[in-house]
Amino acid sequence: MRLKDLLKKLDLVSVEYRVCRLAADRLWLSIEQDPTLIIQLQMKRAEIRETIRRLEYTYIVRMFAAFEAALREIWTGAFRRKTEPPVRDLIDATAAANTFMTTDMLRAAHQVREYRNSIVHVNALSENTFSLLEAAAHLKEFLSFMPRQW
Amino acid sequence: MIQVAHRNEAVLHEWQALLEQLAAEIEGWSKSRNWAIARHKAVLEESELGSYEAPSLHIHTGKGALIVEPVARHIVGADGRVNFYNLGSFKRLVLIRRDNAWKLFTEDRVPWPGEWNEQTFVQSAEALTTP
Repeated sequence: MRLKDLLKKLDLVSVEYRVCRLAADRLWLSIEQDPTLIIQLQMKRAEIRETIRRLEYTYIVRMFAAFEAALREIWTGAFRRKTEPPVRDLIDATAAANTFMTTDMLRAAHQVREYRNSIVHVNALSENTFSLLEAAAHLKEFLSFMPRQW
Repeated sequence: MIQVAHRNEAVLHEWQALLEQLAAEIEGWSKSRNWAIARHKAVLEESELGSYEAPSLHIHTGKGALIVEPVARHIVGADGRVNFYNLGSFKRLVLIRRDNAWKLFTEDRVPWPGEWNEQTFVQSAEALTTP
């Protein structure tokens, strides 16, 4: 397994988001130009607007899922571990394995995790918010410190 | 620029002094081999220390251009990191501050044999510039 193959999976999530975002923006433009579309779609403008607003949340959850899957692959494949730690511990444990990454990078990965939790769990408030591209940059930077091949 | 309310000045000064000492050492070793060397100021940013300046070196050995670039004082599992890499090929080694000494590691975190000294520096520079 190569690290770059795992990184590609995170890139694919970014691409999917950009495609969906573009399609959603085009839909909104079409609705502005032709309000009868709303009737044809049997939806409310507010519902469509809210769906577009929440699109990024959905993809941040997916991006983090791809990151977690990559970390678990590295944990079992590169570090030869058989345990299944919670993702919070998994982040700390992989970072501690001679990666020599900066503590700022480790902190950023946890902040993205907390933000993802705040999206998924109603009561998990996060102090930080991230765009999908920001989240992807932090998670990929974290992964870039992992072994390249195993 | 990162603003820090109460940064630990003692840690910062110690770290900057270590980087200055490392840069001076490498400058001396390079000059004794007639390798061209230039010193630049790198600006680093860390949550714990805010923004600060540190020396970065550009070395031309005749076989290739090498960069010595400080990364951060606060890293996971050690007390500081400096990257040492070939500007052309991006082959990279990592200098880690641990147990009050510099230790050299390969990109895959394999410890370089021997202590960090002039001989290790020359060997690693040659390894970085060998195709």
